[in-house]
Parts: sequence; C-alpha cells; structure tokens
Amino acid sequence: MSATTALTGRPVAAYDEDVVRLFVIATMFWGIIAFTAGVYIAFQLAFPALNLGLEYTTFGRLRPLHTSAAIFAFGGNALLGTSFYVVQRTCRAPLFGGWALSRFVFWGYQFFIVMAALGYVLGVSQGREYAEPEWYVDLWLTLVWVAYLVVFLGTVLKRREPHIYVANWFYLAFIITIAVLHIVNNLAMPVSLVGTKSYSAASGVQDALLQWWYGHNAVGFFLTAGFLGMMYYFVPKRAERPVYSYRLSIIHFWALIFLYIWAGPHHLHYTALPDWAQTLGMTFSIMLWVPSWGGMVNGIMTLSGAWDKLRTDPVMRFLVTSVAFYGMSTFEGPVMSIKAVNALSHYTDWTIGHVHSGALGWVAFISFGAVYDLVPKLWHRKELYSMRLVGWHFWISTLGIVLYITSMWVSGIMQGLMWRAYDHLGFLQYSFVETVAAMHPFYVIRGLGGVLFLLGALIMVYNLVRTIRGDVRAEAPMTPANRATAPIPAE
Amino acid sequence: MTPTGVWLLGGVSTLLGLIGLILAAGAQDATIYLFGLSLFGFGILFTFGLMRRSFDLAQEDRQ
Amino acid sequence: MEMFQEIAAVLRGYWGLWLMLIFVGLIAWTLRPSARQKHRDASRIPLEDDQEPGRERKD
Repeated sequence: MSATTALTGRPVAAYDEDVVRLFVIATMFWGIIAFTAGVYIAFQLAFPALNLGLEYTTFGRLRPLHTSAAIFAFGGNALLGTSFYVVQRTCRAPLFGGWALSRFVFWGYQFFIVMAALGYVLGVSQGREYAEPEWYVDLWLTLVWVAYLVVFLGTVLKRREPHIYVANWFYLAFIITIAVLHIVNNLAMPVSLVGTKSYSAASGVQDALLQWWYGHNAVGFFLTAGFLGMMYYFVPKRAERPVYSYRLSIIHFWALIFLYIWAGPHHLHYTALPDWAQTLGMTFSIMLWVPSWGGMVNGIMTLSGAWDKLRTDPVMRFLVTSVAFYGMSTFEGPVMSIKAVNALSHYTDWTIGHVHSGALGWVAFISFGAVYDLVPKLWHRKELYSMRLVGWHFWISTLGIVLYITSMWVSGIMQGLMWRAYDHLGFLQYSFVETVAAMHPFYVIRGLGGVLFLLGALIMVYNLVRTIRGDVRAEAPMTPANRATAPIPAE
Repeated sequence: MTPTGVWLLGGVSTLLGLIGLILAAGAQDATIYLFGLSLFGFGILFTFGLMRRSFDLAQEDRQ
Repeated sequence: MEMFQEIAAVLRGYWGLWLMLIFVGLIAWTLRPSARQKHRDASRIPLEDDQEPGRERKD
C-alpha cells in the first residue's frame, strides 16, 4: 500500500476509507429494505389480506425480516462503518489487518444478513426475539464478529494517539458485549449438522431469562452503546466543539456498563420468573434513567453556544433530535419497566411504540446524521447535493415518527385497558377480537407514519446519490452567509 | 495486509466454500441446501476478490 | 488452597458491595481534579483528526 509522511514525519499507511464507503452504501440500501418491510407489515396488520395468502409473506415470517433488517442490517452496517471510520481517525492509525480482513468483515456481514433473511422467509427460526437465525447462521456471525473485534481492537492497540477517545470505549463495549450475548444466548444443539433445526441448551424459565438477558442487552449495547459511540464522535465533530463534559461521558460509559446487564428481567414481569429477579430488573431499569439522561444532557449541551447551527444545519438537527429521542425513550423505558405500569403496557402496542421511538428517533436519526456528515467527506465532495432536501427529510421523518408513536400510545393503552375491563358480573367485558377491531384506525395511522419515514429515507438516498455523483443543487442557502452548512475542509 | 495474511484469509475462505459444498451435499432440508450453496458461492467469490485486488495492488506498485 | 476458597466464599456474599466499590472508585478516579487538563485535551481528539495521513486529498 502507498505510504507517505503525515505531520509527524513518519511514514504511515493511509486510512482505509474504501471499506467505510461500502458500509455507508450498505446502510442506505438496507435502510430502505427495512423501512419498506416495516411499512408492508404495518399495513398487513391493518389489512390482513395483504399477506397475499402465501406462507412466505405472512406477518410471522416478515416481522423478523423487518426487525433484523432494521437493527442488524441498517443499524449494524451504520455501526460497523462508522466504528471503522472513527477508530482510524481518533486513534490516528489505519485499520489493523489491512484491506483483506476488513473486506471479510464487510462481505461476511452482508452474507449473514442475506442468510438470516433467507431463513426467515423460508420459515426457519429459533423463535428467540432478535436472535431468530438458526445455529448455522449464528456460527457464521460469530466468525465475522471475531474478525470485526480483531480489526477494531487491533487498531486501538496500534494507535498513535495515546488516549483512547471515549467513542471507541462505547464501540468496544458494543462489540465485546454483543459477542458474549450472541454466543451465550445461541448455545444450542443442532439435530443434525446438515439440517437447520436445533434445540436450545437451556430450557424453561432459565431459557426465557437467558433470552431476555440477551434481548435487553442487545438494546443496551447494540442500539445504545454502539450508537452512543457514534454520538460522541459525530455530534462534537459536526458542532465543531468538544463534547460538553468529557468526564460526564466517562461516567456515562461506566454507569451504563454497570447497570444495563441487570435490566433484562423487566421483559418477564408477572411470569414464572422469581419475583426477586423481576424486582431486580425493574430496579436497575429505573436506575438506568440517570446515566441515560446524563448522556443526553452531555450530547445536547455540546451545542451550547452554537445553537444557531440547529437553524442553519439540518444535519445537526438530525443529530440533536436523535439525542432528544434518546432521552425520551430512556425515560419511557424505565417507566414501562415499573411492574404496575408494565401490567398495563406489556404485550400491547405501547411496547411497539416505545421501541420505535428509540429505533426511528434515536438509532435511525443519529445514523442519518452520521451518514450525511460522512458522505461528502468519504467521496471528497465539498458539500451535500442539497441542504434543503436534508431539511425536508428531517421534517417528513419527524412527522412520521410522531404519527407512529402517538398512534401506538393510544392503541396500546386502549388495548391494555380493554383487556383488563370487567363488567358488573365480573366477566371480561371485551373479547380479544373486539380489541383488534378497535385498534384498526391506529394501525392505519401507524402505517401512514411509516410511509412518511420511508419517504424521508428515499429523499436521503436521492440526495446522497447526487452528492456522490458530484452534483450540487442550485438553491438558496440555509442562511445568507451559508454558514456552517458545508463541512469545513482541513486547511 | 501482508501477502501471508491474504494467503491465510484466502485459505480460510476456500475452506468455508468447501464446508458449504459439504453442507449442500448432505442437506436434509431446502434451507440448509440453499445455505450450503450460498456459502460455497461466498467462498469462491471472496477468494477471487482477494486475488483480483492483490493483482491490482501489485500492478499499482509496479507503476 | 482451601483458605482461598473460603475467602472467595465470603467475598461472594458481598458481591453487591464490592461491585459498588469498584464503581464508586471509577467515578472518583474520573473526577480527580488532576485529570482536568488531560480530559480537556482528550475531548479535542475528534476535532483535530482531519490531517489524513498517507492520502492526498482529491478535492
């Protein structure tokens, strides 16, 4: 590989940005797939005939396709790509293992996604939420993930910057914890080495707790810690000022690490799980509120003194709104983990609304912000094709999220109240199908919210494709001076 | 990446392709058959990708 | 050997306590006043990473 001298005067290999470009393209591609699948199954719930009467397109098979496409394909590619970008920059070192190993991580991860999706559509599932792929896909992911860990950790170890920037701590916690969770939760015995079916190593309530220890920490370390790594790099970078408090970011990190692992049992309130374990899960979930809001304050206050960027830079708007959604869902989560609240909310659409305020508002918005920031830099363009279109994307998507979560609040709470309503003779007042009928209008609203979110993402893809082609749209600047809209070049 | 590393990864990738073939050959259901064939395809394509890029880089170095 | 096992058994009973102590220790270590400048420097790492080594900018 070519080597020249950087400021230090020592020869250094170039950063590997090719692989980051691949990840960014994959993020956009899988994002559209995930949102489309989500819109489709949302309308299936409102209009069941949309399942076409085929087993391949039933809700039960497409739902894991949607969740995996959103979390692992869209979110995962965003995380892997940005982590490779951030770790090289903040460690001032090229990726460990060189081009071949990082390409293996990229193509291996895409192969995992496609094979997982193939299994879902053909009806192969372990029946473990967010861990549906069977043993052979699990083994494949383990292999790819170890390669990912080697590349990331190797780069950190070979760093030329003495301090490990806090974003890398979050990314590393994400990688290591997901490895542990994935391996332990998927311990299973295949019926045959040339067949898809396997049986879980644990059984009964242990198996359930194992699954939700995995499930909640997938939220905690995949959808939270990983994206916090993104936040701690891209928010300061875009705002052109250091993070509000570096100490707070370290405390944020350790508090999340110490607390998150215990919160899983709140998914099993009022089940066969022992009461003390349920209370433990609830307690830790409530405690999590504090570090989460510490992190939110840290992210938002980074803009302190530069609030005008919210008006002039729609990319910054995405980043800051995502942190606000992080704050909102990390407040809603602890509330829902309280056993009395959970008695109403569990198994209802409220949970779905909560997940989407996190997934759309926090995870997707911070990824959009990061991708908008990255694309001009990665393809060496001066600016995005259109800042106005970023603004349109922002407002259309935000409206979509608002429609989604408000309809799910109403639908979920209504559903919960109808389930527990008794008549004067002590009989249940409503049959199950009456609750389903009552939720129909909210399912339609939710579907429309999803359409808006998808529309916003399509605008993003158009904008980024034109940016990559090198086009710049003739448009009025966001401010007269066009301040802070374009990424500032190095010199 | 050092040439040794690329050879090593090429070996791993070839081996994965071979495992894919074995899975497909003995497959007890359609999904594992498709998975095996896909893994075979992945191994082949990835190995060829390594070769192509290695030759490209070698050519760049000569120029 | 037996002694170590006994000590481990005693300590295991207080796992919540020592986990808490480690946590408090970490926070105290982070907040120590002498680290102020170090943290200030560290927080500037992402802002000063645009000198890309080894590759001339194409724009």
